[in-house]
Amino acid sequence: MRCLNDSEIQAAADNEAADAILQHVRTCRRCSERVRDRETIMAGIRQAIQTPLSMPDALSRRIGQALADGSSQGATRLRDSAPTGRTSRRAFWSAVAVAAATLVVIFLIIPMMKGPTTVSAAEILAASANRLAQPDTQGVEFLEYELTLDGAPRGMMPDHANGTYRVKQIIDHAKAGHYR
Amino acid sequence: MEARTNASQAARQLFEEHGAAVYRFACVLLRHHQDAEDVVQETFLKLLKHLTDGGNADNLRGWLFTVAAHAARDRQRRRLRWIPWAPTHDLGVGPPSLPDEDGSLRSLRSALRRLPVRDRLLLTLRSEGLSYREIAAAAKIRPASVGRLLARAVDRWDRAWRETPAISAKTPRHEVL
Repeated sequence: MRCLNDSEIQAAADNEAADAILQHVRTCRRCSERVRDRETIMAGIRQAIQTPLSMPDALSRRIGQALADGSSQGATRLRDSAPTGRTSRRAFWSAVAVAAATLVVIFLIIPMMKGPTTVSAAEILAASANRLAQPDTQGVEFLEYELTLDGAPRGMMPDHANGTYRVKQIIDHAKAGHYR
Repeated sequence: MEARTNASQAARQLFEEHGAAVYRFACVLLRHHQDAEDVVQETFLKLLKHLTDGGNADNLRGWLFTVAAHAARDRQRRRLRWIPWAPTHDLGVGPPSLPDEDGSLRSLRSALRRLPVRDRLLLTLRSEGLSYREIAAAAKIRPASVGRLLARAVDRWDRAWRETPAISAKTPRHEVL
């Protein structure tokens, strides 16, 4: 028989090898040395791993109590395999509440958000600039805004008082830069 | 009712016999003591249910390590979704006291700590005395592959151990296990 490969050496060291392999180990000096070396390493690993590590008292008490109760009611109880009637009723009403909340958002809150809002002068000018930047618009465009000033800065706008102003823009898209 | 009582008694006895070994196994595998405690608790509560339901009572030691290995793997997968936590991030979290504080076994454990999860699993199961057939069931691998994978794990552990710098008794405990 040929000499053993690594997994056969391992199996021999672990007493898991077939009879033919063990027979070879008994007759082959090289393989028997490799098995002995492997056994030494395995003993070192066992020694490192099998350190007597004591279990925390609290854990030991908790599990011992749960097992003594015999009812699977530990600190983390095993989940029941089937939901109870109360659980399914609760799930049904939860689903109804979620559906109702969704309808309120769709039919009440979103339309309210789309209602008239106050915008700043900067936003109006930005919207106007965006319109002017659109190359695909044709003909003469008339834009009209209502601008409400509330707390106009006197230093910057001395001739303007608080109130509502109407802003009109006319843009001739046929001629570049032709607007007022 | 009598079956339930018998199951409870058997589970308690198995907990006394193998509880510490399962805890040690989970500690080595997970390197996180709260997770290890959860694994032990889950394993023995499942054992109680298994016995109460009249499950197979042959080789319950192998059964325990198989369930614990699966529970540990679930936790490892869950943990992969988070940023890996190193014990050095919180010096308040340390492993429990080890009996060899002189450092004689600490370099061996340190080498083990650097191995891939499956290598640690195979070596730990073998060290706990499980047969190749039981290891295959616990690690979810083919029985014919156990010897080969175990041999590779041992080689990697041996290499890691030789590369491990000498560990003195002054090395912080959270570096080990």
